[in-house]
Amino acid sequence: MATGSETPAPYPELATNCVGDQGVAAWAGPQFSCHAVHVRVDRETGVARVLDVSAAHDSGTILNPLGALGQIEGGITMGIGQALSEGTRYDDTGRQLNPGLLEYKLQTAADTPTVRTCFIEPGGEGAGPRGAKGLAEAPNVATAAAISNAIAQVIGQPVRQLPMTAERVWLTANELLHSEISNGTGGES
Amino acid sequence: MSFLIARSIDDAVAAMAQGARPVAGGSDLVVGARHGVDSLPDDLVAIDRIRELAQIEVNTDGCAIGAGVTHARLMVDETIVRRYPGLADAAALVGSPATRNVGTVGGNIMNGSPAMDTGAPLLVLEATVELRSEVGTRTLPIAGLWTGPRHTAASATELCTSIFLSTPRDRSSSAYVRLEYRRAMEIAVVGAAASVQLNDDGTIAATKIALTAVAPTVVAISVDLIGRPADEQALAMVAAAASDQATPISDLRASDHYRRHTIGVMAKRAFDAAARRAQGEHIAVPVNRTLGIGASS
Repeated sequence: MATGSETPAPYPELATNCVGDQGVAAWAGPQFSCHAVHVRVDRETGVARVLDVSAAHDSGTILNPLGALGQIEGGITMGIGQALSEGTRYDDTGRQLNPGLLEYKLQTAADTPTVRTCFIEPGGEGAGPRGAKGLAEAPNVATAAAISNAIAQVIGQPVRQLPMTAERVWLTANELLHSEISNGTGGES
Repeated sequence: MSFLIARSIDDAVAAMAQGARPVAGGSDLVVGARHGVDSLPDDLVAIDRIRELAQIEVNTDGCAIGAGVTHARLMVDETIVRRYPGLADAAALVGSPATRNVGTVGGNIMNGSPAMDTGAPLLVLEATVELRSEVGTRTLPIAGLWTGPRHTAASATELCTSIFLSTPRDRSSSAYVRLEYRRAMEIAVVGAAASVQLNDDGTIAATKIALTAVAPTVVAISVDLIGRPADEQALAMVAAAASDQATPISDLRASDHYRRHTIGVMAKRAFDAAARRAQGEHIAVPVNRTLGIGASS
């Protein structure tokens, strides 16, 4: 193995300037997305339910509309699970306590909200062939944060841990209630 | 290993006398075996094709529900929905559509889980359970059926054949609600059922409240509301009594602290829905969905 400070060997011809064999630069056309959610919180129990999600995605030209729509709806459902119910739990010895789908709570079809999707096309500078850009994981990046912001708006402060289980939401809401009482501002908002 | 398909109750209890375990929907038996709760019994007798077990018979005294009646049927049966809506509320929340199509009310109560949904409404409706074996038939109040988590007063040779509910009194009704984190494939985190009978002046003539998943079995609680109006103060009394009398544990689904709080919330909501139904208000089955409780819209 070589050591020292020699000049490294040049990259193969096709990869100069970080381009693939199509001559297209990776990462040159970043995608953008924004999710807005409508959440209902049962204040007495902390149970939150996502009623509607609107998703706007700039993924450039959409080459496969049905596939892209499915990617967004699936990603959002995954994001809701991440936000509210999905979390691995371990005992003191590192053994997973919820290794099956009975206790590791995925969102079900019955929980899935109405999802409205808007594709922003075309995606501007730096896109790939025919103006396409990425989609991939973007549909579940914004969802949990949007749900967290919505819950914070209802109960007065954000829940600082995922998933935002009903118990955590209830505890967070109650700490606020107690601190308000101790500050003399009183009452639930 | 043997598997017998029983065509009659006599067939079934004869097989059980030889050591076979009954299986109807299998939604507890098979899931339990896969999760290592119990291994599958060596000998099984299938009771899901026994017609007599799948009947709902109504007469002037009341209603006899065959142990093999599925949750899917209970939740839409006209008699159950009209006269015993608390039981329909519970049946409609069990598992998923697939579970409700195979799971039976007899299986639900005989499995003896403290988190069973149909137990609490059957307790407030003062159901009696018929158990049959080769030796004979006996009935017992459902309050005496559950002796501990997953344990019942029935012997291994006794088959639950039916559940009897008396004809409800005038101006009375029932309701069941539960805390749930999602809308399908969920098990009650806590749950509560209430039956309420009102006097002509709207005050409470009789009430019963039972709790799910906050004690080793489904349990009834006592709260003295007779002669009171079903108002905010009554609701607060119900909530306090439920939280005080519950003995919840902490597990994956919730802490004991959170369960103790939420059982009060569920009890007062169940009581409120039962009282409103007793006053003639139509609250569609299940209350959880209609009134937006827990994970409902």
